[in-house]
Amino acid sequence: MGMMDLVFVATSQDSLFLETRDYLTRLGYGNCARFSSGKAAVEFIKFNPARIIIVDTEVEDLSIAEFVTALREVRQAEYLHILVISSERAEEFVLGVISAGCSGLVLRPYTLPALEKHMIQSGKLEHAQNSDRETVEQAATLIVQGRYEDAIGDLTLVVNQEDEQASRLFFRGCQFLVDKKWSDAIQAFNQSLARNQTFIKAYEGLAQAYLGKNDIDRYRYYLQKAADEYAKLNNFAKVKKIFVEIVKYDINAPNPYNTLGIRLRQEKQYKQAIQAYFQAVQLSPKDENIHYNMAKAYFCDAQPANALECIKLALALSPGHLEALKMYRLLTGVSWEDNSNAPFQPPRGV
Amino acid sequence: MAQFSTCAICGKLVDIDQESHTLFHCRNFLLRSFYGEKNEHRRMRLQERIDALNSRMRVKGNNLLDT
Repeated sequence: MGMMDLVFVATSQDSLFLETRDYLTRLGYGNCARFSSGKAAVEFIKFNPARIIIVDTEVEDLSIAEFVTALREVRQAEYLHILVISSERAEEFVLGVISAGCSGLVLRPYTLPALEKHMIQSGKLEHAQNSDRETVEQAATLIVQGRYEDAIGDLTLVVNQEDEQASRLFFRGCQFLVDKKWSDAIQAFNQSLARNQTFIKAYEGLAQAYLGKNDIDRYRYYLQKAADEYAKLNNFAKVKKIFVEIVKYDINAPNPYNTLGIRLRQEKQYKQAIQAYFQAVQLSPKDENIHYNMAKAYFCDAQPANALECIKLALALSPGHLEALKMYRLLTGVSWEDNSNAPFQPPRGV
Repeated sequence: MAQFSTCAICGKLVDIDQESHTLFHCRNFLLRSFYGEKNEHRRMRLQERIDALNSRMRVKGNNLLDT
């Protein structure tokens, strides 16, 4: 039996471990290993492959959210199912563990079928997009065999698919958070993460295959693409953390994506801010302030033509909007009253 | 030493030398208070102040502006 068949249970309480192990045995998972210390578990998982880790109620040296975050950080590109079992039901706690990146949450007291459902879900998660993942795994074998062309052909098919899917799934997860549909939110975030991970593995495979062909330029190119996917993964994690804070504290905010966009723009994450504003505009298409905010994010991201389009929308909704009028003049060199359809005019001397 | 003054419109304590504070900042300050306010009565009072400011600034809605 290999390490991948092991189910790791992290808990500092003996009785909880015995109970969980008993349930797992009844569900056919006979091979369990236990950690009491969160830090020790993270250190172990960092160097050893794992498929499922159950975090039960508490570990010795970390909070549950810290533990889940640490696990995600050490296994960024791996399909690791992190199931949290807890008796804590407060919304703040639930949002905290979702923000940290748990892929399942079971609240105590729970029944055997409830745990079974989550264990089955972990299998489903693992087999989600299984054709892509199988392709990536088969390509790894082809690379080992020196069949680089075949591997490149297969992996190119995977990465040529629409790469905005992870982002769409991510924002679907955010919307489920707003709607307080926790399980749906976790599922959407899981799918988004799995999508990113598949792309990372595919790009890394392509880099390896081109290295095998001594094509160093393309090797570097795909290594960079893999690095970009890692960056996306990190960005999603950061954005999720900020969004959870907004959902937690700004309970009366009419459009949490607008608040998210502002936070991201202020943190210089302009592309993520623009993505957030796209969500915000869908929710409130006739709010001039959101169009103005989006214009500002585009402007900071050095996309003045898009900024101008947004500012025109803001002014069409509210012709007296002082800040929008200022930005219109900055972008076109003329006032809105003089010409409401002026083209973008780079500032003189640029 | 920093010179602080309370804004007559929104009540924010402003560092006069360091901080720019326009009506948009007032509006954002009131909106942020509104977003986190759990008490219904206080929320209604805040909404009235926001509506008054919106009408003065010729904007609408309860969404923040990136100032």
